[in-house]
Amino acid sequence: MNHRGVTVSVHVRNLTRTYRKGKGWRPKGEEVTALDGLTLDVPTNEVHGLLGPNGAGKTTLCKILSTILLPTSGTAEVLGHDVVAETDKVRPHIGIVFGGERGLYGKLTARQTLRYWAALYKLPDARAEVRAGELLGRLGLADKADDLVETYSRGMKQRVHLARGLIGDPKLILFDEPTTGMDPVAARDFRKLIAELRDEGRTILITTHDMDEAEEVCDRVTLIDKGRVLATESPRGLAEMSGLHRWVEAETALDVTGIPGVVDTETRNGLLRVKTTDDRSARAVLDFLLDNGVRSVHAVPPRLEDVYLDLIGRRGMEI
Amino acid sequence: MRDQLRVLKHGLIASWTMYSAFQTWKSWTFMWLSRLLVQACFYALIGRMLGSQEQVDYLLVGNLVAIMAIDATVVILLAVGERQSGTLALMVAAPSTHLTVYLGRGLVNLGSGVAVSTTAFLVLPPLFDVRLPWPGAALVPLMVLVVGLSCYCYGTCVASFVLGFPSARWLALNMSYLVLMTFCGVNVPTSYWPDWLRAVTSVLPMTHGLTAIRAFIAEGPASTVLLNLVLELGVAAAWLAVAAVSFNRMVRRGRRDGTIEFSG
Repeated sequence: MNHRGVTVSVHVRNLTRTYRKGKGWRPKGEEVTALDGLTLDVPTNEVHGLLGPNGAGKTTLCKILSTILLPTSGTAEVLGHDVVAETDKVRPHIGIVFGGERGLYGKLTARQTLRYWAALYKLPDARAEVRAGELLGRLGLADKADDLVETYSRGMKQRVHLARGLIGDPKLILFDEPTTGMDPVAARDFRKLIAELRDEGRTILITTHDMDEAEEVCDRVTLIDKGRVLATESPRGLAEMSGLHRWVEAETALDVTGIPGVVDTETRNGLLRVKTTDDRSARAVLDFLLDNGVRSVHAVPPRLEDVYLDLIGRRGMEI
Repeated sequence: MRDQLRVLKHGLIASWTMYSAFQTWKSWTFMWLSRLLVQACFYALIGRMLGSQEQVDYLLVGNLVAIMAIDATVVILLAVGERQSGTLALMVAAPSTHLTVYLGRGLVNLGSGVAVSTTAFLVLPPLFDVRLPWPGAALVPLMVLVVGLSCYCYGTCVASFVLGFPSARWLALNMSYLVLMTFCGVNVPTSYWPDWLRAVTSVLPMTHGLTAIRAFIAEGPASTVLLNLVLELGVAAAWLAVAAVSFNRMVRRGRRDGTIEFSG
């Protein structure tokens, strides 16, 4: 429980992780800071997004929380247990799901995969059989449950990843870029699954580059850059408190560039998008358009992607 | 304990499934088994070339047991396999004991090794006029299994080091096997080595087990056979204990230096 009386599943304080570049037993390269005094609470039963450019420290945080990496300093607790000293109490309660095709045994079937991992999560055989069957059905793999995983499409493999991550009935699920390689339909189903998992009382920490996904599924998001937290808020709250430009969208070809407070305009497929400095300027643009007979017009708050780009900068390709 | 046995069982099932996906009974028989039989024949023929049936007996029996060790020490490669398939992080983050998971995954290779050696004991001795004490010789596969367990524990221990140095896996596998072949009484009696080296061989797998098998085939005293089998089991337990400590150390090291990667 934190100081506000909220039960937290993830409690991180001043977490720092540094490493040296290079190979071998004792790398001698320059020291890199992956996490730099990061502090974060994730309340129980929250879907929490970690957003940031490549190398921001998202995966490093997930690795520490999943007990496969030690922090250099600071503390991290999962469900009240220290991830360094109490790994035996943390591990049974976490599920890990990452995107891509690795992390699976191609020569096993989905059912065999789940039975194997169920044993590693100490599920008795009878319970493992039932749980595997439930998950295969829930994730739409029942018909192909006895086919080799290597014959699956990428989306199906991702669903095996999900099922494997859920086999131990985890209270905290760490998703690291889970929709990598998913087609839009699979990604939509994934978002639905996230909502279901939250309804079951689980806590979900998800790293993603997909802003739409984060906006849709996350209760709150944390923007991380260079190992530090830039902001933690709900996607909407983050957008509103960001003080970013407001946008007005209208189906028109009118010229609005002369209106005070208009920063920029762009037209795509007959849709005019006007960037304004604040609410008052947006109001002025709306009034102008309505006065000129434009009927399809609305103000748009900044999207999470706008906030991300504003706070992180356009350095998504940088490492 | 029940959890550990379940992990072993499902590890065995998974590894059997994966093993049988690339190894059919035909490929096992005509490629793997036949290759190992030829190896044993090669050494027995050296004995024949030396013109001594005693040498033939010694070399053939030694190599019939040694070919099992090739399979049993293949477990060394599995650690790197987990890393390459991206499952190592998931394995480490799972609540089961790492060593148990790992032991379960390699049991198929141990079984293959014992099967190879047993088949070889049935097929090759008559070809080289090596006399086995039938029907008592039916117990030889059990003794080979004891030696196999000890080689497997030794291989698992080496595997834990390979976990930290994946690029050394083939070197480690070949060196581990060659050490057994060279020093543990397969082709050269351990009495040939200087005292200090003989002391080293007494803590290596195969030395005592092979002595027991040789004594059994020569219809030596039962006490010698049993004592050496117990010593072989002791060596197996010691290597298993070292493997457990070493596995934990390597996992701790991986957690410290960040070499256990999520794979996406």
